[in-house]
Amino acid sequence: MLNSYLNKNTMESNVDYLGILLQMAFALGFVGLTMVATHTLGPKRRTAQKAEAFECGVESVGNARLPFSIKYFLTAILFVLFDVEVIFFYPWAVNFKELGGIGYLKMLFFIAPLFLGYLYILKKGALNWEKM
Amino acid sequence: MYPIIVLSVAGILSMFIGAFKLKKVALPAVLLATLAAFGSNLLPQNFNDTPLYSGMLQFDWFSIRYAAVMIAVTLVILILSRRYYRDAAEHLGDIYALFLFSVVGGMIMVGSMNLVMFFVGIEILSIPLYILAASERNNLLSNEAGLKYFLLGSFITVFMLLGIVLVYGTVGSFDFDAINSFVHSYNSSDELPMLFKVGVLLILVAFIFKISAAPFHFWSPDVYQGSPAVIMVFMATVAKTAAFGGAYRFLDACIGPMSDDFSVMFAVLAALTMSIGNLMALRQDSLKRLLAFSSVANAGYLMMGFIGLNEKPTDTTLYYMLVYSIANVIAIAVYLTVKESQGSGSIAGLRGLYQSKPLLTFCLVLAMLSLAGIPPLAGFVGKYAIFVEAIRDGYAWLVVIAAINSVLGIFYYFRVMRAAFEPAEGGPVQVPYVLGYSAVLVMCTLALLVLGIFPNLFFGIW
Amino acid sequence: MENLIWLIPTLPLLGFTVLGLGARSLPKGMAAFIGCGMIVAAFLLSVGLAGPIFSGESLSQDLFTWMRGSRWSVNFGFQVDQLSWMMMLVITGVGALIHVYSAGYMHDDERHNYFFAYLNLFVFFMLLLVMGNNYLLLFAGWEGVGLCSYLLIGFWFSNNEYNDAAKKAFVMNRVGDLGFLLGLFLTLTVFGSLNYSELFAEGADLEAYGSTAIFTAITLLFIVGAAGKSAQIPLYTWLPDAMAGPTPVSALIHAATMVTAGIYLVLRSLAFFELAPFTLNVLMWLGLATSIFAATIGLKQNDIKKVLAYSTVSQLGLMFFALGLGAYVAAFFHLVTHAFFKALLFLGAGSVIHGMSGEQDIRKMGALRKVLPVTFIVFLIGTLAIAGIPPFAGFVSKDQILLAAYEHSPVLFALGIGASLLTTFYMFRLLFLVFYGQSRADHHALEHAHESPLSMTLPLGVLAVLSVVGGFLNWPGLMGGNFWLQNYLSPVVKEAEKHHHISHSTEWGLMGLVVALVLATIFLAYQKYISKAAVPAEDANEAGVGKVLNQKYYVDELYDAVFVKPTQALSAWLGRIFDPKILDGLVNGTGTGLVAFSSAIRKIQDGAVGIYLFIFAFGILLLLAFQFLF
Repeated sequence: MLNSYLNKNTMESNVDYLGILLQMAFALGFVGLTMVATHTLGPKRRTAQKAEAFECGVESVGNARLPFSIKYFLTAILFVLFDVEVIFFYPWAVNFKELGGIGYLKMLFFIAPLFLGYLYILKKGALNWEKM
Repeated sequence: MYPIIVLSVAGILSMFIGAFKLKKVALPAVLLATLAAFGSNLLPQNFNDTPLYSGMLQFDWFSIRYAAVMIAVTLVILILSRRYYRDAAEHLGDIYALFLFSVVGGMIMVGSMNLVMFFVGIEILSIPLYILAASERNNLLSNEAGLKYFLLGSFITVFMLLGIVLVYGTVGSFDFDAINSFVHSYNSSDELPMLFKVGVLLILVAFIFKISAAPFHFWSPDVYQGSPAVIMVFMATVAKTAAFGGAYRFLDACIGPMSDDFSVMFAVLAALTMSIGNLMALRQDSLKRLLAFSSVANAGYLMMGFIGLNEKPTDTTLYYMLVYSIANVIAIAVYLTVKESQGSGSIAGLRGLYQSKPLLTFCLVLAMLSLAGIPPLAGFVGKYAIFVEAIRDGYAWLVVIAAINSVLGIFYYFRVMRAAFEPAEGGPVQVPYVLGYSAVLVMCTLALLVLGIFPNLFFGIW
Repeated sequence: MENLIWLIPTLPLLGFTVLGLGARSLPKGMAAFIGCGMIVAAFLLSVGLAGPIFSGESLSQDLFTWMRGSRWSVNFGFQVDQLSWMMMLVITGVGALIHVYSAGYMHDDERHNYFFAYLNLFVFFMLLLVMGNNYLLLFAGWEGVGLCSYLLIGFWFSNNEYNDAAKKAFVMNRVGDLGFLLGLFLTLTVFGSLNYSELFAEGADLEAYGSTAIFTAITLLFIVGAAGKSAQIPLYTWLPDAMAGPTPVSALIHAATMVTAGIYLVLRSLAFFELAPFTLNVLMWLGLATSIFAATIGLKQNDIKKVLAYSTVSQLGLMFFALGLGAYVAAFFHLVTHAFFKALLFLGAGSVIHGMSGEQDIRKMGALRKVLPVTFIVFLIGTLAIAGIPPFAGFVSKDQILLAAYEHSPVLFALGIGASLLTTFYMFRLLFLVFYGQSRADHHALEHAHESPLSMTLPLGVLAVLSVVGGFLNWPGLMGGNFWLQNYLSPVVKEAEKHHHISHSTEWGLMGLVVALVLATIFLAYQKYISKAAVPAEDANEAGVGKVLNQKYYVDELYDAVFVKPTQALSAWLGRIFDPKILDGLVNGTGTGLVAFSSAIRKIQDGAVGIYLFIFAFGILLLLAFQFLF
């Protein structure tokens, strides 16, 4: 099905690509514009600390054998965890109609443990920055 | 399959019990779930001679027996963990959950019929163990143990994955049956592709690591000593049972006739492992470290069971593993009691035990006798059965080494026993009473006796 | 009911477990109830098997495979045939009576509960011995009863003499057990099986397996075992000493059940014995010699229980004599009747001892007829039974043995009568000295003398009745009976062929002769101990033959000089020189070396992960090389 769709496209004129190009240009332009805007418009306080390379809250120079806060890692890991799970939604979303109600239930079943996991980390205080 | 589901759900529940700080119900709930898993494991519906889930898992007689032993030993460990975790307020639910997940991993490993499932099983088994090893957060040794175990474990996992990839590359399938027929399609194993053989060997390396056999045994003494005692005994018993079960499954169901190619290698490694384990154990003063080396030594004896696998009942290994586990659990339970009252985990700390706790001493003595392989205890029967099999396979030299090693073993097991009977300098010590503790210990001890006198009650040993 | 066979031995084992674990907390009444209840229940279950047993069937129940060798296997299973069923009835029946009796006898003992636990354990092992369907189970029971015997003889372990007696019993039994064990090994080697069903199967051709020499060797070894357990020459010396145990123990273990295990063993292995005529001869002479030997010693003993003990040895000898003669049924019949009247006599003696506050010396008794009327009557019945007065049980069974002896040769008959008359004499000597004449008891004991409680007299009554009517089990055809026991046992035990038939008139004549001689002997005893009121002399004042008999032919001293002293000397040398100097040096040297080596290699394991990883990688390379390059 996907193949036929692609084939159909190649038979059309190149005009169809114009929209994509436009969208790309717009996206890039928006990013570039905002970056420039924030840099020029925002207030700046330049300090030595700010100039250092960002290492997730760990001092980048000095003794490596130090206890360090795990906050960053935990948050990052949790983010990645939930982020990655979203990938599983794409195939489902594409085939949403074909899978129908059963597929919906299955997806609910898939998301339920995730939700439980979310509740768990919430309850454990893993997202509470101050308390950690 | 049922116990896997039951224990997984129970694990998640236990996490929530922990999260909602319902400390009181944690252990009863977990025990109940474990009992339920044990029961569901023995249900006739659980038995299935054909692989389930697109050929991923197979709950046949073999996996059910291994699962039964693993769950039963876990149950006992959980009961005995009361003494250890009485005062631990934090993360109790999580710890229990990790126990359960680890057992689930073990069951998946033993029941798997597919290399991918196999890998998933071994990881589900191991990762909770890494965390558990480090679960005593304020103890540096425990932290070290967890990190070490994790580092070394993942190092070996890499090799295992490489092995799996090589096997997949040559066979074109992860399925055990497919691999088995691939091996069968060659007349002799010499004609098998080199890459396939290397792949199989690399997978076996992971097992040799998991069962802590030489030359990959170095992690176990350090990790065992650093880990909390309850975790240590879990690693030495349940995780090892799973590793042996998985190895059997792989050797038997996956590479089948080819497994005889590795007999010599296993024999040499077995001899090496038991000798190293016993020699190192001779001079240990810490009871935990002694048990760790004893566990290495026992892995050596058990590896003898891998020799000439094709015409062999798999029960001998399981029986040995079960009685070894029971004896180990008893020893650790006694250790916990002593440590609580004495604060010292050394063998000398056992002094005066007989004066204050004759029943406990009795259990300890029988456990040590069983480990040393003195009839009529079960440890003797297990060793004897394994030795006889090895002789039948023509490895008399290995049995001679094993017998010498058994004698070495007696030396340090008896050292422990002797210490228990020596009078303490400070007089007998009082140990706080914990409900059901002694009862479970005595039952375990009796099990050693009963299994020793009637080895064929549950297993076809002879 | 047949499915519950396993429950019969399990009940006493359960009783032992409960009593043993709860010995400290259970009240005495409860413990006694459990102890007695288990045995009574086992008895009732045994009785419940009567139907199929009487119809000539043999029941069996396999529980599980106990042991499996490469070419042989042994099941944990039970076999109840006519022979073992009768034994079970005796064990549980007489056992139950003795348990009830013990409830009274041991009531004031502080270790009362342990006593019942041991007794229950004994019954379990004894049942295992007779019910097992193979020699290995028989051996397990055999050892188990030995253990219980040891525990019970030394029950009052605060007395060192009793401990010595227990040890002696154990050691003497071990000597016999070794013989038995060797016999079992030989059996296993020759036949490749220890199961009765395979060894003695219908139509099994045992002779195909070995020569007469083999059968003779096996059976002789079995006899060594039997001689140990059943107290025959030369291993009998433990039994009289075993009287150190509480009296119910003497009655149950050392008279009625355990000591008959040897006879059971021979009966069980008849197929072997029939192929070894030499062994049967040995058995015959051994039995006869023991019977006469023990009886002569019995003449000069003054301890009420010792007299009974020697009488037991003598009667057991008589049973072996019968076995040797080929009168198997007569031997078993005597075993059963002996169980009745000897248990009765022992319990009666116990009642006397109980009444006399622990006094056992018959020189310090006398005239107890009035004080202990019930005990007197039952003791009289027991004595008449053992002496062989018709129609008491002992007469019938003994008569059949003597008849079998006469069939062999009149000389054997005469010797048998001799032993029997000696028994009669010392038993009546005992009776007269204890119950008649003048009281010689000291004042104190007499004041407290009393008849025993109902729990003791009731079993006595039951046993007395059995001692009277027991003879009807195998009432001879001559006197209108039909040899019921012989017919009953015929599926298991077949009588050996008669050498020559004896006419009815001869049989009557012999019977009359025996009875007349017995009566004459009783009269002799009456003359000496009642008319002349003779009292046995103090041990020190004995002289001549009397002293030799009183000192039991100095057999203990002989064994001491021949076996014990040299062994002790050897072990002293081993202990002083050989072990510490030579062996320890060797062992310690090895140990020290290993420990030093161990310390050296311990350094590799120093905890550095880097090194571990390096070794891992190296190890993988090594394994690859090992597997694929060589």
